[in-house]
Amino acid sequence: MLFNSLEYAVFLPIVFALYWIVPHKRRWLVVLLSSYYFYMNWNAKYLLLIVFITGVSYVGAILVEREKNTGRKKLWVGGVIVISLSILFVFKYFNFVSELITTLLNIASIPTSGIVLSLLLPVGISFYTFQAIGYTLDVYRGDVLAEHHIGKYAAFVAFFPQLVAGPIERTHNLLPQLKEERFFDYGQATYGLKLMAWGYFKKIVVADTLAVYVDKIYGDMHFFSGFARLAVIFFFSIQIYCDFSGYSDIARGTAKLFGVELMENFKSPYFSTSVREFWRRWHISLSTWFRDYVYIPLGGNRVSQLRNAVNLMITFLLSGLWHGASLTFVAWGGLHGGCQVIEKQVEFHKKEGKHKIPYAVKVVFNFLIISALWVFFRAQSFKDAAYMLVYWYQGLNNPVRWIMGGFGNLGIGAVTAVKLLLMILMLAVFDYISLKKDVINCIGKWKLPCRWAVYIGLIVLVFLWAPAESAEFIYFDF
Amino acid sequence: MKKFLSKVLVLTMILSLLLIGMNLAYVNTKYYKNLNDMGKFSDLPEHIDVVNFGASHSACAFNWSGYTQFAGVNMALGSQTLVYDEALFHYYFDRLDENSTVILEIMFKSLYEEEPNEPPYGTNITRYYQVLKKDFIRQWNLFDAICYQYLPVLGNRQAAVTHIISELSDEKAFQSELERQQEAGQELLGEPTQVLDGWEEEAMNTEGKRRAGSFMAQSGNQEHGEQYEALIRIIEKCEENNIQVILVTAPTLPCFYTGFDTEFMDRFYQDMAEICQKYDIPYFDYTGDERFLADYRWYSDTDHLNGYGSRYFTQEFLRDNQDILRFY
Repeated sequence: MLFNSLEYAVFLPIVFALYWIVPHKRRWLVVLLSSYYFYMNWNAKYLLLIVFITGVSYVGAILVEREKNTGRKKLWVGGVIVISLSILFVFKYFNFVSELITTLLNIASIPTSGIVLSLLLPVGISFYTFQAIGYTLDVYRGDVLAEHHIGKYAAFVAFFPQLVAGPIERTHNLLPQLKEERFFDYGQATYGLKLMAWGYFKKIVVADTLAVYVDKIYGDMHFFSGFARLAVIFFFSIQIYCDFSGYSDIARGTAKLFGVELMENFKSPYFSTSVREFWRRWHISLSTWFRDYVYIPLGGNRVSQLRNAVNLMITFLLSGLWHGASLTFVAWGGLHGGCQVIEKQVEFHKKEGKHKIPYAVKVVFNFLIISALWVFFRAQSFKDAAYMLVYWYQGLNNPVRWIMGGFGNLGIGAVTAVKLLLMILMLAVFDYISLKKDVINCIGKWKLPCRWAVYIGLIVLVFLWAPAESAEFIYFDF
Repeated sequence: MKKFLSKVLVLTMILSLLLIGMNLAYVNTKYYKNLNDMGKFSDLPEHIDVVNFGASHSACAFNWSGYTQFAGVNMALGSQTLVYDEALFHYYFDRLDENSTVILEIMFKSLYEEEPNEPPYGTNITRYYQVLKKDFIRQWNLFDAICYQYLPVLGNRQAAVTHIISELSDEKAFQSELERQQEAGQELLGEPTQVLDGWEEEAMNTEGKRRAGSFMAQSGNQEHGEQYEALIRIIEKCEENNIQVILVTAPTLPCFYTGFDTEFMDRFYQDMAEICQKYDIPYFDYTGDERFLADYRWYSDTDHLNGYGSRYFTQEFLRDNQDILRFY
């Protein structure tokens, strides 16, 4: 079930009513059943995967907690991780690895035909698998106690607002909230609705509108002009941000309706001044997951510079692989890791007080780097990525024609250009103010007619500006 | 909770009123009335002498507009399957009588196509919510009914708003893509015959083969499924009610019809021969007919006649069959 579907518009009020009607002791059951129904709406058979991963991590965590012997503790936790990652491997990475081995063998003149599994990638498998692994590791470290109520634990793994595209919640944050008695909070619920409205604007209006141009160019980039390709590099940066952060906002807003606070997943990432800062603001739940369960156990930054660089690279290569079973994703992760290694070196050798670069310049420069790296994320192959990044200057000798022709090539007329500009401007203003203030709370303090005009205006805008076809959330595939 | 629910209720009411208002404005636009060519069903005569069903080939081949001596109706729509030919046939059955003629245009894939069985359904299905009642739409579901029947503004949001605003100052009737295609070619009257050469011919050949390939792919193993059964039911119902049935395959360009495998075409013609023999009905196949190959400009692409082509074809069709057509 998609957040931007009419089914969800019917599903949510029903679950909301049931949740608050049912006594606290049975609310976990409402959460669990509604979450399973939510997932089954996509593919009923694959619910078994969630149930299996839930079962394995539930039993594994209890065994880890009971075990006194450290060696055996490690064995249990290792078992849970291996089983969970094996499932992820079969569904997500098997074909990629098989293809890679086949290619390498063929290069080495050993003719072979690889094995290909025709399996549908389960929606959100990387999210709930990582959440379950995180829980087991938390129990192993003694950060949390193992949950003995299987129903409540299953509700934690499958909590529908964040089931298929995160945020990847931490045990200490979400599980207690699902167990403790929640009381309806008017402020929290209305904030949730407003956050959802903003999330829908980002997803349905901005991301889906830009998706039309992005899909067009990346589908057949050779038939478009240099400017069209350059424009689409930036369009994709905005599309993926609005698509994913829109989903996160809707997820967080939905959770608030149930009195549950999910972690913030995005904090105006395109206003970062470095790639390192970008990762502190982008997909926070994943980057902190990798920080806590991969980077720090590897030694983090309390090691030599060289070892630290290796740790960073390993973490980001794995992060790239988490996003997709393709070498382009791995390269994307590796480039992000590489950029951070370089930044650390530059910072280390930098002399205080000299050449102070203005904030705006740093933000723009960083945005250019991040946008260029997104090309590897979106392109189907390295060849396509290279083509996108290299051949944007074609026709630049006549700049006016280059720009106007590019817009024409993309099918963007004057009205559409103004619309795109307005929506990007709205987004930029919202994110810039968010650096210092909570925009939703600020609007909430306005006089009633003004704030209601904003709320209704936003909903009407979502309705009016939404493209006819809505695209699926990009992060559903991860 | 009470405060929250009352505020949500007020907001929902305001938004609902806005939505209903927009919907009212939208369903009265010329754009909506002729969306997906459904405008042709709005002013149908009470008594129909001849009706042609079929997909876009049929929609582009028959043009009854110049004939006043009989009431001809073109009920063919782009990608319309025989299942929906049957639905329309049943829905408008009361307007046909013993002297009526039903023309079923059968393209090479018509007998074998699969009907979509899982949502989301595209416009090829949802368009029928504008015309047909629930029982006539096989894939009917409440979600689509809300979006395309009760609140069509939901099914076409952006275009809906654009057209509500633009039609305030525009008096012209909205023309669908198919209509524009059908009107094209007027300027060809009296023009010298044209032939394709060079890259144009190359491009047409490639496109024709691509389209033929896609037709074959959509036909699977050419098994007799629901489309075939729908055709048989139409023929049998016509027979029971003494309505004349004629099967036709509309003309197309050689670059298209030569793109089909021989085996595929043999099977198709074998099926058609069996049906015609069993029910004793005529079949007119215009594939490769020299008269419609003289000028490629009678076509809007590799396999659809344009306005001029359709007028010429209809005229020739009537002339060819004047002895057997009951209404003519």
